[in-house]
Amino acid sequence: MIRPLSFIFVLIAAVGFGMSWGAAGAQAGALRVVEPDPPAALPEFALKDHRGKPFTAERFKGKWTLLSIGFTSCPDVCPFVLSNLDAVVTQLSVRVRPDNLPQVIFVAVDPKRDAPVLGEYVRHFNDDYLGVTGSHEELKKFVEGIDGFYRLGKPDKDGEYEVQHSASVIVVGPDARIHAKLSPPLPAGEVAEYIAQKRILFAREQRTN
Amino acid sequence: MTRSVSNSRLANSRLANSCLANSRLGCLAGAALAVLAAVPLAPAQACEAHAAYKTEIAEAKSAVMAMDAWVPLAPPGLKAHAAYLVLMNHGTEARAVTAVSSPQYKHAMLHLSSMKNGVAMMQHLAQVDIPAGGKVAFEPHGLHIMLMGPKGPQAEGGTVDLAFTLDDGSTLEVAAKVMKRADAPAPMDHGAMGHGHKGM
Ligand SMILES: [Cu+2]
Repeated sequence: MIRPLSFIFVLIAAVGFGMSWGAAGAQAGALRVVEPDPPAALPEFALKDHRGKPFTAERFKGKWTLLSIGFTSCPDVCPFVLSNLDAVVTQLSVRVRPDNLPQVIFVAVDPKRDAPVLGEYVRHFNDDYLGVTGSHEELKKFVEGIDGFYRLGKPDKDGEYEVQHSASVIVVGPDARIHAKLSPPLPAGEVAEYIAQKRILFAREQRTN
Repeated sequence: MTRSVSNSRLANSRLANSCLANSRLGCLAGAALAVLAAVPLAPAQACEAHAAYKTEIAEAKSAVMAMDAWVPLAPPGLKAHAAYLVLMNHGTEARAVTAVSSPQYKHAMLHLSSMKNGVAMMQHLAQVDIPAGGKVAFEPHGLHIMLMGPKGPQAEGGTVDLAFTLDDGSTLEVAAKVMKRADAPAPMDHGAMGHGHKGM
């Protein structure tokens, strides 16, 4: 059974600035953030990381996490998001101590095709990335519990199929609670700025409590 | 499901506009190239910005040119890759790409990544329109050439040969360079693509 979402995302900010390029006049989207208020609990889950070790809620404790949902045979959107998040980490690394950098976790929702290549896949983007996957039952529970979505498409004549999935990045705090959902486009500078601010605010709250 | 797209976000950026500000020097380079390729191309339509791009400019008889063709280096073992490029129509008639193929892949398709309620999905497009004097950018998280079933391993610095079929029956051949995402050509019309560009 899927537990209905027990929290509401509140649109809090449309940060960023319009950018225009050349004469074209097209502009880049700004980062869109929604935050559950108060920060929402993670669902229960039983998943494994790309090394085959159990992935538990403990792994969220004490650090910020950027969760991205996708599948490894996705050639366009998933690599784009994962390399953007690498740029976010790089930009943050000049502002925060290495142990305060957020961890990036790729939730691979196509276990049949993802599990055999997951380690190599995530390391391609960053050595520190963690890939997690599991049974569809557990993946569904987890993904829906973080306000995400995925669905496997019908296989074509070659047995290949597409996977529709949330393109948002879920921000989990060091308290293992969901603090925000970031929607594409995910301009690295703006995401880095957002996470940096979030860290400071959260640390301040912890001190006053 | 297939449908055709006229990517207005990109197609509305008319070439002439983006070239006006460029120096004569750059236009000369463009003109020289046009002569070599024996294609009637008004010098004013080639410009410094285009000539300066890393990848070679390919041309078809129908005045459609390609530039900045690249294939992101992908993690090993993946069965699907993507190619990106910018197609420019220097002609006075609208053109459309109706098919694409690569000898290095089992299938190649015109694809569009789209978002619906925050969910990413891909669509197979029957054709992609390029307005007269306009251009269409295939870029991450948007239009892309979907490359399925690589016949051999991918190597950084290698090339992927693409052949585009245009609606006037001509073929545009383009060699796309395999490179790291960090080395990718800058998006032409908008930033925020993770290449470290800043607005203003
Ligand atoms: Cu695709």
